[in-house]
Amino acid sequence: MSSNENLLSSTKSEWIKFRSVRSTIMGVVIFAVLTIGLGALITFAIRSHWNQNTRIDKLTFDPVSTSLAGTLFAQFAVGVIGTLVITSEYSSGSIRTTLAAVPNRVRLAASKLIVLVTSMFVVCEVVCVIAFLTGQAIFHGVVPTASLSSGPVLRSVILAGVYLTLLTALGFGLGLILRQSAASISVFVSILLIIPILMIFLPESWRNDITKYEPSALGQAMMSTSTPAQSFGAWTSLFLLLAYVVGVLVIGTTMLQRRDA
Amino acid sequence: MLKIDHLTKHYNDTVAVDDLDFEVKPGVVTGFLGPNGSGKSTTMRVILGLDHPTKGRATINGQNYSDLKAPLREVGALLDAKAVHPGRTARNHLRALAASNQIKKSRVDEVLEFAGIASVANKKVGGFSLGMSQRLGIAGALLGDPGVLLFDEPVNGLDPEGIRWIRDFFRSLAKEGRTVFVSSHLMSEMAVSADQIIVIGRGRFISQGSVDDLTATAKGTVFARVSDPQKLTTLLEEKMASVVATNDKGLTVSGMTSDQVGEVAFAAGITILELTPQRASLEEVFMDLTADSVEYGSAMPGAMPHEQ
Repeated sequence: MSSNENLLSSTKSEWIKFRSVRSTIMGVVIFAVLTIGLGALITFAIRSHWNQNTRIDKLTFDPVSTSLAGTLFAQFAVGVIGTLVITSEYSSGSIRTTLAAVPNRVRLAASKLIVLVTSMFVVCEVVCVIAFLTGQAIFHGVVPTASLSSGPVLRSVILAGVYLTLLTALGFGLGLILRQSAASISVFVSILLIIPILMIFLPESWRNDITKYEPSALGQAMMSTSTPAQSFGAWTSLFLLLAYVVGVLVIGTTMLQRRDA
Repeated sequence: MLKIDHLTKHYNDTVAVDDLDFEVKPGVVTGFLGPNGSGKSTTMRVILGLDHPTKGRATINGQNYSDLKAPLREVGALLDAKAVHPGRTARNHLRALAASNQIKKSRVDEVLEFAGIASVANKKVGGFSLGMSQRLGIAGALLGDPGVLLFDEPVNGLDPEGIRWIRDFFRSLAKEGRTVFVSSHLMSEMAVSADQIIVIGRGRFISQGSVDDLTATAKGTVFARVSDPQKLTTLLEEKMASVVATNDKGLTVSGMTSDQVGEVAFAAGITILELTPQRASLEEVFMDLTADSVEYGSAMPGAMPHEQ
């Protein structure tokens, strides 16, 4: 048996495991409902108050990122899905059964990551496109709308799905390092929510240089049709976030390899 | 064949396994006996590559576990029956295991049937009793039809019928020429289910042999009922035997054969009413062997060390 065949079989095994637990299904449903539902609510609210907006507001309005605003809340759901892929193995003790079946730990981590990233990429892209189309349908006739036939718009919608996919991989990496669901999810939430709040207390001159490196700011930049002030462009943001996630995954896999199960 | 090669495992400052060195041969059921905390589970985890040894190694047919291409086809193990994701069904749990080692899907139904849990195959494992979980663990161990099987405390949680079933099952696996390695802290269980026994205590090797070998090496006692137990006690103690008086003129003598006790009594003119050599049970042998190595000893009457 070659190592490629081995990677294929351990990936098949992880795919069976991933879709055979309720937490995955629940996580995906919650993620979809939050992204699409909250997106619809927010776009509806904007539509009904559109005439009260100033001219400047109307000119700088971004119908794309507004229709994807539900991801601000839904991003925690994808983080939890990624985390649980590994931490549920530790909480149940099944990690020992898993490692007895696949003793090569790098291969195990790779299999889990392949399953997580490919399936969540499909889910995230589909959900983001639906949220975008729902938002534009609600805006239609009152608020200016965007179309996927425009390059920057298509990029924003696709990168929104990529951002969420990278976050699920980040959750997985934190789970590899911390091995506990509660701890991993807390750190995940801190990174996206608490750090930006703490940044408010920094002097403004520093803040502008630092905040653009935050994962949530990178996500905002990835989802924008234009480059917002004080931030990186969409592609630079993507590569920075990718570098963070790869870094966390490398640390996590190294720890998985070194530690006793 | 399973080989433990000068294996040592430390957890921080704790020595869990200390220079263990033995072989487990195919064709027989080998018991792995030791008090709780003596290093049995640690040894099992190192064999399966779950914990990294501090020194030495454990090999299966000459290979490290982590080097096995399809480990489930060579080694089947049941370490902790409850170590299964509670939200997954028994069938999906086994299907995932089978897929990871390129084992046919049809084998899943075979082992479910064999372990007697086919009727609950589509139920979530979280609702299983310990006995059902043990059977699921056994089904998982058999999935790859492996030549080496490891079971850590397999009778825990089984009902008497299940215990009888598992004993016969171990025997039949061994008869097929497989290596069967079963740990337990219950000597009575090992006495009936194992052919060979390896005894460890505090992580160290104590003894290895058949049940008969182990009981033969232990010093037995002699029960004597005599007309004047007081006088005989004094005489025997002069000859360095240790004597414990029981009721109704009875004495339990250790450190002397029944012939020697009889001669001493005859020389002193004491009438012997009864004289019986008593072979130590495996349980007593075990207590004797591990007396110094019980990690969490309790001060129970009877477990006190005898005065020599």
